[in-house]
Amino acid sequence: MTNSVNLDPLEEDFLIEIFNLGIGQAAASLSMMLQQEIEISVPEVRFIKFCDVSHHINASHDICCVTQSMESDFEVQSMLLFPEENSLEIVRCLMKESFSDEMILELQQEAILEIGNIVLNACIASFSKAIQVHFKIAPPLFEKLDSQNLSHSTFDKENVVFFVKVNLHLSESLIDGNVLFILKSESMRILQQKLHAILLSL
Amino acid sequence: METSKTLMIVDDSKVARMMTKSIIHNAHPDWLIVEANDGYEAIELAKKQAIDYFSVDLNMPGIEGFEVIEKICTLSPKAKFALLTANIQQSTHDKATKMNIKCINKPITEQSISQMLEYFND
Repeated sequence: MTNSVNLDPLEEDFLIEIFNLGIGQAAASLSMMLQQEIEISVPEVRFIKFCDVSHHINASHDICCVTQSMESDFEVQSMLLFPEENSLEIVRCLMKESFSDEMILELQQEAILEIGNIVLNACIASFSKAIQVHFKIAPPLFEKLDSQNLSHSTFDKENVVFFVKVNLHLSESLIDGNVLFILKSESMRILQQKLHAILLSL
Repeated sequence: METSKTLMIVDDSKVARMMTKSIIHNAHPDWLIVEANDGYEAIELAKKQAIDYFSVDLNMPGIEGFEVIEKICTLSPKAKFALLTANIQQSTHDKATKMNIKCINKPITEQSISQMLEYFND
């Protein structure tokens, strides 16, 4: 595990547990949506700087990205990334009825937004419950990216990223998904104070 | 014999509206289902048409679900409201309970929509 963001081992452990629970809930919700069993790998959680994100994702494909910002007394940008090549299959599974290829393409963005909404909110709920903070959550936004324009995005290279890598095994395919929680340094400082207070009270 | 009802689905996601509509239509083919893709459209439609039941998303652009429900309540005081949302934070459920709104977690499945219909038909 890499930690370039100054978390102590207990804080790291706490955050890993939060994301494990969130991904588990997200997989359960996805399984209900797609009406099939989904096996998930144990999520790998890394704590990195934003400038290093592109080194940790599969850069050979275009990427579908759903972002959702969350705000309380600190701000977090949550993000779901997965390869575009898997996205049409997921949309077909989701819509169930037999739509034409044109219709599936037309619905691709909306369907992925809805999936992103479910997955990110599962992680946000786990995070919110664990640190006892209510977040105001903005509607999800969809973008297609490649690794290059990801690194040129509006985020500061020094922003802290909780990077969660998970493999989802659907019946006919393996999908690499990544969930990112991105925090500016001031938000990270406030979060660390909250983590510290919770851990002290244990 | 069941009386036909009018239900409005308020959700900025077209896919979410399609999925919700399909399940409700299978359960109640005689119900009239109206769609609004944001809160403003929902309020305008509610001014023009009597609606019995509302399925409302929470996180939408412009005006969020709780505010939409508050505004429509004054137009349709007898209507029943369900908040159908991916926002599964406990605090969201607590706020819905305080406002006497049924809060149902997405994803949209036959089970979650059945929960909503049971509440409406109760």
